[in-house]
Amino acid sequence: MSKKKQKPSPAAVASSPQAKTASAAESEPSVSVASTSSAWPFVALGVLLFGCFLYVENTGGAFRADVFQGDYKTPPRAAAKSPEEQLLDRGRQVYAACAACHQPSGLGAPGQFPPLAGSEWVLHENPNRVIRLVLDGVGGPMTVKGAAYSNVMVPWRDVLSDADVAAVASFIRNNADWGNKASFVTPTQVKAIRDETKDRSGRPWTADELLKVP
Amino acid sequence: MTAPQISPPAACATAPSAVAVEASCRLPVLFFAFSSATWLLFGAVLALLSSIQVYQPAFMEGCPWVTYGRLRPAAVNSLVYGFALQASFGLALWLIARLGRVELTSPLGLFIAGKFWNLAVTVGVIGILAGDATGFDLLEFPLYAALPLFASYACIGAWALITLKARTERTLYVSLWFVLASLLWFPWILSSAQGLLLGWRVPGVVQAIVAGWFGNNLLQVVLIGMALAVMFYFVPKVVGRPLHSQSLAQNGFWLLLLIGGWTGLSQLSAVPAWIPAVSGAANVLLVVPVIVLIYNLYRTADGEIAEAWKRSGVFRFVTVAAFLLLLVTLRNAVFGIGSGARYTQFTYFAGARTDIMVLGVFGLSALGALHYIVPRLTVAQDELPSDGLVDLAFWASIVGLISLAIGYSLAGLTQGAVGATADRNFLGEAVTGVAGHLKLVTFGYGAIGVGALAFLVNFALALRRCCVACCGGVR
Repeated sequence: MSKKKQKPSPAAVASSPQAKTASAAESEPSVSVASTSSAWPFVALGVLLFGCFLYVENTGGAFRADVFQGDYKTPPRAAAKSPEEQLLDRGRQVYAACAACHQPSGLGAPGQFPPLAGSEWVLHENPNRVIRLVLDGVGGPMTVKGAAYSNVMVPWRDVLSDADVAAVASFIRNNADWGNKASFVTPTQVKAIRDETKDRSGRPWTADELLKVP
Repeated sequence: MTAPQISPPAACATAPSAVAVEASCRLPVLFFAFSSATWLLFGAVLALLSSIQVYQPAFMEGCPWVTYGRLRPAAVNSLVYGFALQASFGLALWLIARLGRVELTSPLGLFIAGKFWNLAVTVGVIGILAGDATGFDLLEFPLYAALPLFASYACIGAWALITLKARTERTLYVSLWFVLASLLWFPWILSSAQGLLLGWRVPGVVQAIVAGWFGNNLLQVVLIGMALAVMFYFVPKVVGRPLHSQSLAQNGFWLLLLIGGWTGLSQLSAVPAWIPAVSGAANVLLVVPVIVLIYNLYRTADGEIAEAWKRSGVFRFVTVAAFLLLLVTLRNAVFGIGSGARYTQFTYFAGARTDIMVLGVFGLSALGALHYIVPRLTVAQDELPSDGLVDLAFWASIVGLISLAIGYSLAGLTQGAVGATADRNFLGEAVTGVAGHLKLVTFGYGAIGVGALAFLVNFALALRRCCVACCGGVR
């Protein structure tokens, strides 16, 4: 070997006896040419996969983002609400505007605002009066549940749509908390009356006029 | 990779000699080998110190730099980025050069990129100790360390891929599949996770999912892939037989990539239930590719195992690593799904997976491979100078790993038993009560440090012998 102070060059290493012993076994690993494919990995995978599907089915919470405890029975999807329930939900929202006078309790204010709970005007078997009342309001002397009132209710014709009038009318006629139970009001009924009375355009009804309505 | 086996001589018409190939590997691979072993020693010492703090809370108290919350992440990140990934680079370069029969592209550039990688890891570890850790498991490096880390990897990975493209042996051997997968997988998961966590800053629960996904892919695909590359290289080479089956290797490889990335989220809590459910199922499915791959290795070596064990140091390391891979996969299949996962959730048992995979499956494979590579690149022999130190490195690592695995697992199962019952004394039984098991863990980290030190001393002896030979005996 040379006495030069440098790293051995490849040639120098190759010529050293150590390198020859090392390079004697220079075969790199290869793959057996006799190898055949086998199916058992996929059989095993299939069996395990079946079990895994069952596991994920039972504990995965149906891949829902709002289920965090998969081991609990997956809560059923909220059942689609019936049209009546949807109407009542909407009506409850619309009623927030009415509650200012008629109160959330539906009892109104004695001497000032008549009650809706148990009111014969609300619960009349035919909704024609209450629809008119909501659309164009009412003014002047009026008797509700045996008590006399004389105030003006503002018209809602331009504020509420047919669906909203139907919803709020249905809500006040069917509010179980107030003990009210009467027929539901449909947007079609509201539209018919709105068209029929369109020339009133916000002139409030009087009690006498309404009493003539069937 | 489905190309039929062609006869080597035809493909090697212009192939460089093995000596030229190894000469091109010398600088970068030896550098990666030396610095990764140094980080292994350093990380084992940090892990040892932090493990003492778990049962001796007063140990090193008062200095915020060495509190458990900083020391433990610093240890884990040293081991993962300093040791494991860096050793992966060295092994990947060496395997590409050897199996592709090609000289490395730009050894000096790789060396410099490796220097920058070490600098970034150092800055990151200091950043963690200084309190800048991000708080995401296995991604604790602050952004000012993570960006240079990614940049230096980009250089290393690009040169490795360029070398692979220039190979003269066109048939890709099984080991190179795993190397290629790891080289491409790592930048993908690192950039995705860092981008989402530190750049985009995803909210709340998503952070835990992203960090868990990254950590699992790093362990299960990148590091285990490199470990398998080493196993598939050395087992046929040492026993002198071709690999048993091409198709089993293909099945195992693709199934590992397909399933491996899904595991590891099975013990996340406060996430939608389908994530732990699917991840737990993947933990069970992963048993198939692992058994397929290890069965392939077993059939390759069948009948020669005892003889190879006696003859070859690297075979011993690799065999134990393969056995550990099987064990840790079965352990995940049992305790990574359903009630087993809930029983060990939030305990040392679950946390031990990182240590077993980084130090055990990958660590033993890498240490074994380095015991083969380093002597070839320094003294052009098959064995390091001191047989005694080789044995010490092997047995110290094995004893250390067994202590770690048993200590963490027993501590975790004890904690799980306490956590599963409402009226048990949590502090008395699950915190101070597991001190005995955790002392075993401290001993384990110490033994692993001794193993790394033995390898480093042997490395130094080989370097010295190399210098002596080179300088003609004049020191």
